[in-house]
Amino acid sequence: MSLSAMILASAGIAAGVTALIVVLGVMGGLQQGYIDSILEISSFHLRVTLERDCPPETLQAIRSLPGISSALQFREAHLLATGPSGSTLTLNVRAMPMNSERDDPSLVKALGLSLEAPLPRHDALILGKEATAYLGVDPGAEVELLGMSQSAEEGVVPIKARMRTGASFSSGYYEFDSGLGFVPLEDGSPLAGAFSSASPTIGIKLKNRFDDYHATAAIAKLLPEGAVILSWRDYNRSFFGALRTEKAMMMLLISLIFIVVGINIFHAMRRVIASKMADIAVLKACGATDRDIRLIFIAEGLAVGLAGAAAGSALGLILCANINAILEILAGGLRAAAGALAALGIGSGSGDYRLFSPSYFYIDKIPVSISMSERLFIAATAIASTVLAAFSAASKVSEAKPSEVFRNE
Amino acid sequence: MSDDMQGAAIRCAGLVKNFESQAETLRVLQGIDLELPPASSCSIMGASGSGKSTLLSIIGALERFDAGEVTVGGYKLHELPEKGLPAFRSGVVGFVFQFHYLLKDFTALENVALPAYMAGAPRAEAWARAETLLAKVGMAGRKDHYPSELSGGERQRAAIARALVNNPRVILADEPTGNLDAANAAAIRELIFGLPSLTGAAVILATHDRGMAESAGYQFQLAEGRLCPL
Repeated sequence: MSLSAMILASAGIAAGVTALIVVLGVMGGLQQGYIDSILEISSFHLRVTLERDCPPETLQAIRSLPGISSALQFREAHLLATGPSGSTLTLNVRAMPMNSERDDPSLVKALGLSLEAPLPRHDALILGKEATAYLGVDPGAEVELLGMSQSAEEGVVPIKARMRTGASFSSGYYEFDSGLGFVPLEDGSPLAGAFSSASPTIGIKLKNRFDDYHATAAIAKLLPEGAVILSWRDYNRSFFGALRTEKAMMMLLISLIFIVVGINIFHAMRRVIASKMADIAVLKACGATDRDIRLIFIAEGLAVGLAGAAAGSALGLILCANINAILEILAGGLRAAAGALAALGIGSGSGDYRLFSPSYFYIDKIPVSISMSERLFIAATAIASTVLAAFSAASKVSEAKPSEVFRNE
Repeated sequence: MSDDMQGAAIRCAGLVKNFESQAETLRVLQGIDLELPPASSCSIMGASGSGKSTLLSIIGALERFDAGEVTVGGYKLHELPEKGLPAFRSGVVGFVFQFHYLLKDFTALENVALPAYMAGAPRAEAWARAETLLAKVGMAGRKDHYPSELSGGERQRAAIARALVNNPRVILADEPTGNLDAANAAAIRELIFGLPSLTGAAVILATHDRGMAESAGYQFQLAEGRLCPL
């Protein structure tokens, strides 16, 4: 291949690698954000469902096990909340002991609350910012809560209570910000009845979440009969599976670039080989084997792949590291263009020109997370596509029969 | 290697080569018998299409044959498997064609050194051998030039040097002066017929040029698939 053809082919590979790294990086960042929120706030690393409350000494024994980061006992119930304006919202309300912020500080951090503030707060309902906005309540305002209590003696009994709201939290995950609430788990609370029929749950966090199998075995020995332990893998199986599928499909679609570039390289090399039949014949007449000559073209494909993968990886990582600044510059450009148009009397020039505006996408900035294994996989796929294309094209070398080539020349 | 090493450089006995097509069978060589000692030269004349190039291709293992026995430099080509052909071409024969077939992206020196390098010689040795040979063919001052910067005669000299770089026992020259003017043709003729005494190799030359053919120690005419002394 000529140098310009090689540069063009490398540029195609680099474009594919850059696109894959940026797309998968952003996708990974968003997914990681969701996963972290879910694990920290909702599912924990292990979720133990009990038939009755866990004795404090058992809870302490679990916390003392190696590899355990925190263990928090709570109960959850679905309540209907009604704001002052009459708007209603179904909430998943978690009743936790006072001072839970000391037992699970990472939960407080994931909710975006101050570590100094108590969680839950005495006699207050802590809601997400979306829920408070929907119900139209400010901190200190009261909401009406409606729940159900169920017992063998009384059957299903409605429980109604009014509670003032505390400071709202913002996890960055809409489902939680709009549908999760925290109240204290206290005897004598007007809501106590709504949680009495809910199973006690222990939310356990591990120092290494991938160590869940060992931790499950160790914790099971401490628990009474009837306890059910669910790992984060099982609890979120369908959601995490969907995320994985989404990422795999995106990777597959963008990898089509490599197939297109590979086909181009294949055809370019076939043309080169066809035009160099006389040279190939001379090399064969001088003792070169088909394999020797094929290696020349495969090395060329490898060089194209390596150059493209290196350039594309570097560019992709630079874009990933500066993606928010780049988007800000783009938004600035759009703002300036809108301003210029407004000066000409076209449009108002006002508005939100951010490409990923928080008002639409529920994110303040684009998170990026791409693992080393993903980077290596992308680079390896790119290189493999060029080598495979060169290898396939080089099979034409065997067609060069020196005697026929010289006779025809 | 056989005892032939001590005897003939080339021995053909009853060599037959046909080209099959859908319409007919073209009988190109119909029982060629030829024996050539080392350090000798032989010319083969014949009309276009008489089979001169085919005979050279068979002796150089670029072409397979249908019947007979061919032994070159001790290698029995009728018994040599396909995978043994590259080593034979690399070590036993050297080709000079009507067209030089130098690689255009390589200098004269690199073109000459390439077969030695491919045969496994260390780079320094391959380049040193190429330099020596280029000096012998009068190209010492032009070694770093690309083929496009050389004259027709110089290109053919470089091609001859390339054919010699692996010390072949047989040089096969197919119309080596066909593209050259009279002065260059004379110089190349002198060079080629000097090779047996210079290198000890046997030279077979296919040509239309009677004058050139008569410079060879053995002279043959190829007609109707048979080889006859001229």
